[in-house]
Amino acid sequence: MPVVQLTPDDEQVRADHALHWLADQAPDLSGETLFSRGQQLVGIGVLVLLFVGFVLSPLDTGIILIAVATIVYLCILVNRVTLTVGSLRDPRVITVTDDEARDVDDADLPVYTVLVPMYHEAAVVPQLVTNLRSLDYPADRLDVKLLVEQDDRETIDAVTAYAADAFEIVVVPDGIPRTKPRALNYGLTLARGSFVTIYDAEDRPDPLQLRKAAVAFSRTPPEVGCLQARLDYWNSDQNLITRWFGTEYLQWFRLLLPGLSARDAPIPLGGTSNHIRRELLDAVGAWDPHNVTEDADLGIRLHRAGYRCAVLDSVTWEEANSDYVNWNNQRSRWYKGYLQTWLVHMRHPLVLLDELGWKGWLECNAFVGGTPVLSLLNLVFWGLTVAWFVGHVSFIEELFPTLIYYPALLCLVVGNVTVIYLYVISARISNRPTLVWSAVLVPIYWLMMGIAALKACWQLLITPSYWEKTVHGLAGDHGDGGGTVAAVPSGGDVVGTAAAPFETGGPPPLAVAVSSRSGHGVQPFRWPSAVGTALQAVGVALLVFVLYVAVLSGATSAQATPEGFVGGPLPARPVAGTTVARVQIVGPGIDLLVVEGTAATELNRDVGHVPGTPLPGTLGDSVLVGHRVAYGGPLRHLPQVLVGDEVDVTVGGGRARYAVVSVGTQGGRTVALPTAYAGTLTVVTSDGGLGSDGLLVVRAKLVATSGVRIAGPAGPGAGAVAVAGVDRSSALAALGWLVGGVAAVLLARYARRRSASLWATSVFAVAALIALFEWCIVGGHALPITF
Amino acid sequence: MAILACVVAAAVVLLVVGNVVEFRGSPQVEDGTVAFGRPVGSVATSSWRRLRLTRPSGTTVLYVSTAVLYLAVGAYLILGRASIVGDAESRVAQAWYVVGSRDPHLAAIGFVWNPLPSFAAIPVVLFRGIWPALTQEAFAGAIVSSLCMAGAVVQFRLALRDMQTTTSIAWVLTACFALNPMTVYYGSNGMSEAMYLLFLVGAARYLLGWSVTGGLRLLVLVAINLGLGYLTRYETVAAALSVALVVFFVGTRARDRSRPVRERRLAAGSDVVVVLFPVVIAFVAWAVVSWVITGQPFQQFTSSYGNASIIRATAGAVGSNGSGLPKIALALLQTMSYAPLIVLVGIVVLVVGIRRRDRRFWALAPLAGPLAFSTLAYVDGQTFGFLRYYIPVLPLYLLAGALLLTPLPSMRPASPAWLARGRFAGVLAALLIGVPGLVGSTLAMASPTLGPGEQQYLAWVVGPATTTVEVQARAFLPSARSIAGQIDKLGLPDGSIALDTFNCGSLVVMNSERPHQFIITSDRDFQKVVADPVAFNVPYVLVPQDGEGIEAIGVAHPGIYDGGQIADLQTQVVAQYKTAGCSTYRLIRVTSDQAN
Repeated sequence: MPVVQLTPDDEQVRADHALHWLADQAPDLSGETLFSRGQQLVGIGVLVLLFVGFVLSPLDTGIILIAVATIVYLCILVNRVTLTVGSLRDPRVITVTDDEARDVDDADLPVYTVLVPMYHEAAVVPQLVTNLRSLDYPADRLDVKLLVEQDDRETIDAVTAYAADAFEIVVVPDGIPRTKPRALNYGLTLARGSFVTIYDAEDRPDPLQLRKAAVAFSRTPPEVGCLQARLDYWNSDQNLITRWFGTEYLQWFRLLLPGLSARDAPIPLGGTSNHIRRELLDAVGAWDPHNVTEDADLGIRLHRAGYRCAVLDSVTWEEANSDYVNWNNQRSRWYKGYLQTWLVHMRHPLVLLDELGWKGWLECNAFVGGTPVLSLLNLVFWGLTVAWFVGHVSFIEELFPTLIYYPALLCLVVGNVTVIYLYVISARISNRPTLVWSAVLVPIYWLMMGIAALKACWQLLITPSYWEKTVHGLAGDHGDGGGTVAAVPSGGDVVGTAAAPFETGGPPPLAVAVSSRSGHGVQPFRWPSAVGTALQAVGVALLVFVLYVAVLSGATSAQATPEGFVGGPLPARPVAGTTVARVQIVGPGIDLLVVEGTAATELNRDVGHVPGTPLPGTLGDSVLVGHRVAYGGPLRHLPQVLVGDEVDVTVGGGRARYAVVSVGTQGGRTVALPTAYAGTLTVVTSDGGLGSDGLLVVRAKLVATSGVRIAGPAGPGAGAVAVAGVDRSSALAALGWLVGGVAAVLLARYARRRSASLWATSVFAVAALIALFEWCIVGGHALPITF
Repeated sequence: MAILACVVAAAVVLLVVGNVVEFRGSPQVEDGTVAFGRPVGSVATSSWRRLRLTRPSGTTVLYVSTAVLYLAVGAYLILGRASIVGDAESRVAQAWYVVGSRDPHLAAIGFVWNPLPSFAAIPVVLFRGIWPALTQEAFAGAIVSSLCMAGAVVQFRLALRDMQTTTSIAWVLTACFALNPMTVYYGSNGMSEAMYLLFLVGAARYLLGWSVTGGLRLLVLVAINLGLGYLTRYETVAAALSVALVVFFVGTRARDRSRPVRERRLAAGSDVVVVLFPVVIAFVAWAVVSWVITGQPFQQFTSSYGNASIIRATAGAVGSNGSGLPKIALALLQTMSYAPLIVLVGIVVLVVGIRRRDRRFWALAPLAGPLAFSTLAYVDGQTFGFLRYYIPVLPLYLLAGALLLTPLPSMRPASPAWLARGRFAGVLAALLIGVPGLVGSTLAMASPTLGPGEQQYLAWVVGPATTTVEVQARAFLPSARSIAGQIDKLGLPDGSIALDTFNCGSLVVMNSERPHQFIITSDRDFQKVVADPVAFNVPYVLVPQDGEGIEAIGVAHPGIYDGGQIADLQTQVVAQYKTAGCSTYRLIRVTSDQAN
């Protein structure tokens, strides 16, 4: 096989270009530095916050972390499910039939470059040559470059010894980091074709794949810059790991990637068989040599530049990893790379949002960042569940208050089961029954993925660009073709071919444009204007609500001070409005005055004594009623009263002492009076605040009196007392104000913009949301609370 | 005060931010040049779409109108005439226990019955503060069942649309399904039949599609319907088994004959895995959860509140229909109430199906399987002989009729001319098939032999209440309300009365203004409290006279209803509540032997 000969200077230029071009020209898009300045600041800030949080209140911090993790998990899960299900209904792949592929005249076909990076792949060289030879493409338009590393003598010997004139060998000089994308960049400088694709050494592509890609490119609009062929495993029945791996690939290439494509979201490309237009590769800066999943990174960069990737219905057969350690290395590299890619592109999240759009941005996060994170969170949550079942550790229960508990439970049960089922469905697509049975056991695979994710995170921080080479050839039988290196040199020395000296071009145009948007003011980000209006409407509504509460219900009124109240002898039925007593409860710090009567005027000043019931300090059941929230809430501390607290009442010129016997809540408007004691004091207020329907009732029994002078007989005791007017606020009135406020804002907008239909729905949506807010939060009884 | 200040601050922030965002978000004129690298024509535009009001589709109209019909009937029966079915009320009660009881927790949903109907009621029950009738009269159940039954009707109609049945025939058959008195009644009363039918008819619809096209997506939909159906009623297991058999055999035969049988069978087997997976998982998960929380995995069979136990305890009195007919005859008559001509049509189906080699008839398996199961279980004495257990006959029969009238173009003999579009003969055939069921169901519902479950709740709605059972059913709600009201007047604090929510107990608790005063069966401390009320400071228990050997307090302390000394408990009858609709309840004060 001819080896491409270059002068040492030329080699150096190309090697530098391969390694440094993207990093120099578009540093914001290069993985050379892992964490950008902004990300470092954010990271440190989060760590500081966490530390402070754990010191101040570990439980609350734990709850917040769990809540965030649950929400993230739920979002990623839902995203996966909807992607897969959507694809079942409508798989968006580009299909070119074999006949259509063969129909094209050779003369109409473009020159196609095939890059085959190799490292320590001596054993598979014969197989590789057979596979490449089987490609159905005119030899004069096929530009195959086998890329071998300079220090890999074994492979270089193997390929040079093999007789295959059509292919060229490119020896990539040493460089750090030694990664596949660096080799690809180097090979790209020598590429002749107008289309480029990549195959790994052990790949067995569909012979018609290049033709199909060429036809597909001619059919699709110019913004489709890349086609990803389907990858599949020929050894998927080898063992359980390969079965799972095979099912995963089926799901990936048949369901997930087409789903992403249908949603116009960036597609993380597969490792091989991506067919790309040459000029685009140069324009976006080719591959990032520092990224260990350079394919995913390229896919996103292409999308950011405005180009789209589609899935091509043509299969490349690969060998699945059948050995656990090898699989783990590969998988952790993939996760590490996904995290790298995510970090690089999220350096300027707003710019990314601008370029990808909402959907694309969310998908990028949920898919690229989400895949390793999902595996990690799996481990965390499963660990917590196991710890809970085994140890019944109580702090785990506390970490999941109700609002988080139900969604987390949903994730655990419904979520896990659904994803297992998705694997079963994906396996069924393949028509290989053994895959279907093994799909049921897939949670074990997730455990493996979680461990790989852990390793990935570790490596990300320690050696981000370290490329763990996957060992191939473990499947034993390589299918058709020979297995031994039966190469016989075809006689004579191999002739080297020369190439023109390379000049590192200017900055990659699209990559720079993408990179320069990180500056401010170049192209301001635009939110949909309706969001802004909605926010304003909510703001006005809140103000109106506050106005209503503050002014109309008078919650800011002050009260008379109780100090110095002594009081004199009282008749049994004082005149309404007279201050009759002073009540003090030491524990919760209650110290207030009681007036006779429970009309609004009295209640809005102080606590009221229900006329018709005996006065406090006498025998019989005395009832006091007061606000808890409105009008300064004189009884706002009442919930803190405990059974056994002492109540000191100054009334009728003397004092009386009560002891609290019960504190409870009830519904309805009627308070039953206890009959168990000779003298009782019942204090009633609302349970929960404005608009709630419950009552908080505190009962105390008379213990002692001294010097209380109340004239006249106490009236016959009533069995029950109706309580009304406590903390009453009309939810409907508030709703009316809210709707009015919202309507006012929207009318103003309408006058300016004349887009009525959107606002009509917004009015009702916002009003409904606010009513719900008021009811749930203020009303208090709509949400279940359980610990 | 601080809260109000925060709210004001938040409002101001929102106003400012909203203004800024709106200004920056308003669409500005693009200057037409191509953004670098961005292909021509793709401009960053607002992703909001204008709301468009389009004419609603026929299916939407069908759904809304049937849902409204069932809801209206439900409102009349439940809110107007207080005709509340006990089982439906229990379902709503279970939903309420999860959110509103003294000890709200998810496991309060109960494990005797499968949980989905109660889960569906939970979001509705959350609004009981605004509309108390949702729990007090258990109307939440009616809302859920009308939405589900309307869904079943829509699935039925869509199944006919998938089959490409002539529109007029399809509407006739759909009307016969939707307007059947049993459908209307069970759509309106909150029983789980509505949700059950929704999933069974859905499974049949997708299986029908699958039997023709073999698409994986349809198989997955069948599977999901079966899984959800199991969580609604356990009889779905029978549907799942019959579907699995059908999928296997149809799948084997339908595949490319050139491949060897073994390979075809393996492929059909993987189809069976796909279709059974959700149902098996639902089965296992539900059993595991039940086992973990209550210690028993299959409470619907073993629990003392389950059907088998009730039959034993009442010596088969409940649901035995009191007639002298042999059970199998009764089962046949009840089946024929939905479809009087079922035998005749069945023969025609057999003949035509074989002649046509119509694979689609097998797709009725999800409806046929549970019927066979119910009949066998009844004859064996495991369940009651209720007319509603045979309700899947209705869609089964009507779908079979539709298949008869809708031959596929590829079948021999080719579609006869009289079935052609627009010819009245087809509509006539559909009427002949469907209408007798309306008559039959009405007659059955009025008959004490065939429809005891319906009789006891409906007879007194149209006429006077005559039998004891009817009198009791009519007085159910008022009695519970009265008991609850009288207990409320005592003004007892929270957690002071232990009550097993068996029978009337649940309605009493839901109608009480202070439900937290009760310690009920679903509370996690109920068992401890019942075993030793004094030790847990619970002063009262509320027990019915007739606990049927099931009511927990009566079982733990036999004879407690009569008061006096029981073991080391000193009990004293404080009050008695005698009502027409419930067993007589007594409020018993319990103290220990030592002076308090």
